[in-house]
Amino acid sequence: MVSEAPDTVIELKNVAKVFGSTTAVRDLSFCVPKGTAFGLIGPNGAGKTTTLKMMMGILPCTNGRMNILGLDVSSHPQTIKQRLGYVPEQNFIHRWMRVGEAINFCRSFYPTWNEPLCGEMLKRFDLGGGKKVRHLSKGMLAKLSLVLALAHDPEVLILDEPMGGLDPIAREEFLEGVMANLADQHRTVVFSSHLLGDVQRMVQTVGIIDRGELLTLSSMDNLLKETKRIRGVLRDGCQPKQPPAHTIWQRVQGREWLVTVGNFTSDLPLQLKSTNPVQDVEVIDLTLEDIFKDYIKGRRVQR
Amino acid sequence: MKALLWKEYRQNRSVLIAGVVAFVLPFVIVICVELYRDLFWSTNNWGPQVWQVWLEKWLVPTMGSGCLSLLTWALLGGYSLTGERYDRSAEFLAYLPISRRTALTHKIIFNVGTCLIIYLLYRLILAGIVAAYYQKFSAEGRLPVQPNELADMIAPPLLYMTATALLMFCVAWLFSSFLNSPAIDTCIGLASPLIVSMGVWFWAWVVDPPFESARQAPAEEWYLYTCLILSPLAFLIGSLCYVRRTEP
Amino acid sequence: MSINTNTSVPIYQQIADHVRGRVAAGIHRPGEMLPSIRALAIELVVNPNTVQRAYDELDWEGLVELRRGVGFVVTEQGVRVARNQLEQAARGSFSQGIVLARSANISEESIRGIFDRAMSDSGVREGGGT
Repeated sequence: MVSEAPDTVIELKNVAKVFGSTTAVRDLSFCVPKGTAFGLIGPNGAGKTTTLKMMMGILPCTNGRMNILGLDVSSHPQTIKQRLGYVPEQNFIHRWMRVGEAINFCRSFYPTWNEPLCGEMLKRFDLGGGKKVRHLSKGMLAKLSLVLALAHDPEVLILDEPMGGLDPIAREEFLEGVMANLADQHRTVVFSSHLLGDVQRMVQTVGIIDRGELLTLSSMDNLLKETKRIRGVLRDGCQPKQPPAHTIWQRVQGREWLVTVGNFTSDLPLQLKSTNPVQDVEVIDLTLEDIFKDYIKGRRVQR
Repeated sequence: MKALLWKEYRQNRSVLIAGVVAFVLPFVIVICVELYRDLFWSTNNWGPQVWQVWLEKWLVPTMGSGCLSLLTWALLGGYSLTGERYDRSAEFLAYLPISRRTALTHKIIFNVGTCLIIYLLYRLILAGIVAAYYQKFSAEGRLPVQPNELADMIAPPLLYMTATALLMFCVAWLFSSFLNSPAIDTCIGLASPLIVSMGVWFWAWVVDPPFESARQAPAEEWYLYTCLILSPLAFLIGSLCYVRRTEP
Repeated sequence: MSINTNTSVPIYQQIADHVRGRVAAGIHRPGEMLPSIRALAIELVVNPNTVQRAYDELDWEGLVELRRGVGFVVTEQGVRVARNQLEQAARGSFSQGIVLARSANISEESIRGIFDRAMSDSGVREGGGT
């Protein structure tokens, strides 16, 4: 078992997960270097949660290998759980526990529990120890969940859609809590979310996943730089002849030809003009949200 | 680990409360009736049958309390492994570094411990009644039933009750290792003695009619043996299922 | 095109700009119908009333006209109107750039240089149009 780079913290090799007759994840491979934030985005049911749960060792892989912190996940489940922090989409902390009880309960399982940090975070989030988990709002529960995931100083923090259903204020406070604990440490983060603005702000590397397959994996900067939409105005009665290589999605509507490419270079527009019956081309910048939608739509059309 | 035992206790607190109520209720009823009678009738005109009345007065609720406690055993078994899956806190526990084996050990300690406490308490009360009977009536010089005779009277029903309780607990435990609803597990646990006894009687009267004479044992005893064989088996299989289960 | 909700530009304005751009680029030509309000509302995922408001503005400008039973149709002078509007927008952007350059004490000559370079960098459109 040789990792690709010495500072690779998470390494997935041909990981697959099959539930009965449905394949949730097929042949997923990627690496996350130490100290970076990795974003996993994909539509509902794309296999994000399944992948993250496999990382935590809660679900076994059907196929493939998964190494975290140099350890094989399936053979060291307890060590992995001690060194990782996980914030699920919905935390099912015992409803009857009080906040203080939940903290005490979790503390007893981690030798590395960071009491000052825990206290500081509880104070930051204004979480009183006497409140029952059952009575916490969605935002408060997410924050408690973050405290429980960070208080044992994990080397890797896994956030699975942690802010679904939170209001903008709670979301911002939650993100602040995450950031406050990333800045000074070499903590690796895996973040899955539908809130693409938050993803864009948080991560350096992003993977787009759909139906259990990785569609693209790239640094955030390169993705935004190299994925562009080109609008061509077709000559009357003509259809595009030769779509560019790495076409992600395209649409012809009347004279308008929209095509999103994954490897944009400055000479691509001219090249497109010379190989296709277009009279005019224009390059349009895309946001992460546009890119995400185009990847998913493009794939749905192919099928 | 203390935390896990505490969690088990808190998780099953309602079951424990139900158990205490089931245990105490028959006695409370008898005491209430007694008070009522004291208020309105004279209690000392029962004549020479006074010992019998006294004995019945206390043994009947004790037996009732024993029967009701069967329900507690089944509930404990039914909630033992499924409770967490039902309210989905099992998912929360899965993120914590607790091995299946540790979790199982604490569940066994808690559940078997509680069952044992119920059993011992029950035995204690029975012994107390026998002792009180002896003390109360031996002084008057008339003991129509000797204490050892009394023990012989009590022993067989106690044995069947214990075997039935064990079966209920173990069968509920087995089903709670893979089903998702504690209520269903408990019901299966409660129904299991019925099914076993029906099976034994069916065998005795339909499949193999000369059963009793051939084996020189009444069908009741076969019920007892079946319970004693099935229970540890169910408990073992349930425990194995729980440990080997990958999903929370 | 997607609507940007993180800006102070009102959505109807964004839609109107979008249509102006399409007319100026020659995707919709004079005499041709614009997509129906309903169709555009569905495409952009906005309220039809907002699209209506954008079309009304374009109508008022003279870029399109409402023909009964047909819909909004690009007028003969539509392309010119669209270009005018876009020209104004471009002028606005340029003057913003100039203000920015001036605030950095960049000389007028250098600003012209910047303009020329930007012009040659975006050589894509040259010779384009009809």
